[in-house]
Amino acid sequence: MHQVVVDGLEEFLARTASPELRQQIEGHLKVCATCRAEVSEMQGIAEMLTVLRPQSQWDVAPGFYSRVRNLIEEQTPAPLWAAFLDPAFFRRTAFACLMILALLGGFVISSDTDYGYGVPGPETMIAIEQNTPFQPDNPVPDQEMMLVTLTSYTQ
Amino acid sequence: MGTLTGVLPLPAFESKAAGRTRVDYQNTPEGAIVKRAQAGDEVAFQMIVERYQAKVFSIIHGIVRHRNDVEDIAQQVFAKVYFSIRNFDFRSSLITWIYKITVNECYDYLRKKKVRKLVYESDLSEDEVRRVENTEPAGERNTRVDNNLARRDYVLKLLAKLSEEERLLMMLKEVEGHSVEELAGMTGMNENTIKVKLFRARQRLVKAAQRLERAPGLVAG
Repeated sequence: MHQVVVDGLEEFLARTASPELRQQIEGHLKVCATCRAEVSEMQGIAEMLTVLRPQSQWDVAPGFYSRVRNLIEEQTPAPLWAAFLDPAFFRRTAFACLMILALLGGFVISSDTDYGYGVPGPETMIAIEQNTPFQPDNPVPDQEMMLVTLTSYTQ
Repeated sequence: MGTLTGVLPLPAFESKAAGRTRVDYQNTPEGAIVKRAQAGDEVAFQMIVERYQAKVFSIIHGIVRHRNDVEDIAQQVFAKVYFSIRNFDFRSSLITWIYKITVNECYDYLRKKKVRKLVYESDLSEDEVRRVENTEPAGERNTRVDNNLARRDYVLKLLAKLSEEERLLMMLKEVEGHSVEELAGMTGMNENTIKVKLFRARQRLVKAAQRLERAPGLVAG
């Protein structure tokens, strides 16, 4: 498109061009088929765009603002702490605690052994020793017993 | 025709008014309301909704023409306005900003719904329906509505080929009927910039129309 048309295009299409400018552009369009065709297409499209003009005044139904507010509230992301106020949160937490308790209980029961109170400590060993009947004629077993006791304790 | 448009220089518009139409929207009464809304004032936001709701409804109806969906889209528009009003920087007027959100929301709606076949009666206002029913035979009526629908569908497809900004400018210019000077005031751009952008948008529309005529499937929006 030639500059003479480009410069005054908006005024020409809007029909607000001064008589001189209009005459100038129309004069050029008479002799330039390229510009004539393009301007014609632009005019056609500009006219077609008017189909999007609203045809009537719209009456907004009462209560529109409150409906907008409701939508805003629905779309507002909840703050993090709000999750703690949710009853579902309490239900889930209680369920998780119960599950953990059940798991721990199961583990304790399954890992229970015959030791009862576990590996005997030194006090237990000494008590066992003290309950062993004394044999004055043969002190060797006592000494051996003591050695076994001490060895097993350090191990 | 299309051969020269791509290589010739962009318009070197000479405008004495260039740049002088810039408006300081921050210091207008509307700017004060917007600032209050930005600070979280619900009353100010309500004022904005009530001031522009009718305009937003009209814009949506002009593009979408589904009477039943107009309010849903309008609600969505104002919800977006609410959530993003803090980002409004006063470079354009508030209505220009809302207009842009509205047009984008309409295009989102059309994309989601893939509206191609519109309900005939919803295309017309109630008065028009009444008038048409009393004056036109059914055949003529359907043909006229069909033509309108086809035109709008075609125009929407063409506009979909523009950038958001170009689409906004074209709609404000050709649909709303604003002058270049008014557009400069509304958008905060100078008149030369507006003219250049409009020229580019018009060229794009012509090219899209030519492609559509050659192969209708190519421009499907």
